[in-house]
Amino acid sequence: MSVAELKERHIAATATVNSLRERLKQKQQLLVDTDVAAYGRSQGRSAISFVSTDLVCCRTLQGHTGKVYSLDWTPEKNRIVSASQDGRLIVWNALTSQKTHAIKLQCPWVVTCAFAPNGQSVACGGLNSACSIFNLNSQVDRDGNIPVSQILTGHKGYVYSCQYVPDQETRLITSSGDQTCILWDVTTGQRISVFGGEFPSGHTADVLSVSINSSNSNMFVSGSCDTTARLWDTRIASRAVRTYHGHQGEVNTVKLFPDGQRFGTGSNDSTCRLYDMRTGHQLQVYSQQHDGDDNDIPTVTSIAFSISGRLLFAGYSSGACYVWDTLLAEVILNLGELQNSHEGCISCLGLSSDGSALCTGSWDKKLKIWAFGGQRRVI
Amino acid sequence: MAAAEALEEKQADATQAPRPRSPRRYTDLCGRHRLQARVQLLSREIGFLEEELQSVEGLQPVSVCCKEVDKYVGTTPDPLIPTYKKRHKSCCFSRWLRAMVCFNATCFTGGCSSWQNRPCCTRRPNGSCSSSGGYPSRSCCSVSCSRLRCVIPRLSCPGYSCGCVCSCSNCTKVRLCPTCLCCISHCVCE
Repeated sequence: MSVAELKERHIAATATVNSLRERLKQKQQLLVDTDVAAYGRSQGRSAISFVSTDLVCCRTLQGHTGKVYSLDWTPEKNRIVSASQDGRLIVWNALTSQKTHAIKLQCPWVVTCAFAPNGQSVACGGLNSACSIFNLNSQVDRDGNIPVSQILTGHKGYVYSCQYVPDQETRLITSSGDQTCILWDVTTGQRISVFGGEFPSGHTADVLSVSINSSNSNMFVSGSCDTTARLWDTRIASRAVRTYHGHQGEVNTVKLFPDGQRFGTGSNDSTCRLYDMRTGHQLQVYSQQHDGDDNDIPTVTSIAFSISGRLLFAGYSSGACYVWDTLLAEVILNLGELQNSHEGCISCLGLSSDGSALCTGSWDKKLKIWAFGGQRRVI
Repeated sequence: MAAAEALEEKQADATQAPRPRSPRRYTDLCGRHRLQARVQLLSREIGFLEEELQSVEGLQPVSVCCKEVDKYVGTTPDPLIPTYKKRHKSCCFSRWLRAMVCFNATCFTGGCSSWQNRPCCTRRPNGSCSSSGGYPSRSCCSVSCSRLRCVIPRLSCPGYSCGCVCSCSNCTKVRLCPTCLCCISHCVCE
């Protein structure tokens, strides 16, 4: 086929794709008969009432000398790992605020970290395009550092996010600036599957975040600079199961909803959204009016759901940390305005495995732990 | 004159680069293959979109999903949300028992938070220890840096939180106290 014929085919195929996408959008729109908040109000749901002392900062974890970029809880035992601009990972005992490990990294440009399900290893990744694994029980070297036990190389761009597959110490998923996600065998250091890339249909820009479904660990969601989120089946790397549109800006963060059937996203367009995984429906937009001009619209950097899903915690580049009532789409508290709150951008947050505490990390170099400090009234 | 002009023209021709009569055809193999790959990708995408269009026919409306969300959230307890429970006269003992259990365990159904009851240790600037929550001070703040001595934390080591900063013997190497693992970025010399 000649180049001219190919060019004609390309133009025709592009027009067909655009037309099909439009038809799909219109058909999906016909199914949008309500959203979560309107449904909640129709059922007589009343808003949760929080006073400023209901959620209190009960621990401040100090020790990093640079911005905190990422944190992760262990599935048990209340430990947290954090990664910072200072080029260190720190493992904290969240109950006592003690540091149990301080790992100085060879590549200081770390942006993500994760705890293994058994709490014995941590993983981190960043601008060296690799993911490093550290066994916390390893003998320290002459300089008092824990040596790296495995380096996962293969990405052709920065590693923005990493997460261990729940209940599988040897499987890890990373997302990267090379527009792909990779499932790794941590023991051998080998890539098991690559999701996306030039040929298999996938993200068309940097992938900033992943969240694995703990109810079905074969499924995970990714969020990207191409403004979409995508659902993947680890058994089928050739294409995304579904693509979720709606955001007007880069999707910085994705998190599975506790029921394992929905997920939330946070974006540069300053909104969080709730999507239904199976149908692709956008169920709710969480959007707040912000003061200031359009150039100062804060971006959503990180999100987490409470254990019931009733609360959505969203960290913003402005330093705000809104607590959304997910069922009524209302902000019920701003942790950023409470006493003892952070003094900078909230870059990461995460909920403990039992749902009793939230940890936030910030550019003010600190991590803070928030728990319920109110009284539970009896009648 | 005409001969001179002809000669000048010939010399000018000689200095200019030779021009072919018609432009040479270069076979742009790299671009053609790339274009072909893009067309293949688009064909695949068309297939996926057609499948998705078919699947939309059988999809449930958004309201059904909203109902599922509402039901799940409404039936799942949450330790971070104020709740109300009916008081039963006979549960005084069980409330006391829960309070004792909650001191050491993570629980939320009993109405207490282990985060509030956990003992907290702090080291005062003068080096002495204080603790809250009934935790013995000597257990809370005992640190021993084997072969290294602990010094009172100073402004030069603001990153500590355990209250123990270890000095190096010759100021060229940073060592971490094996017990408290302070995160220090430079050597503190004594």
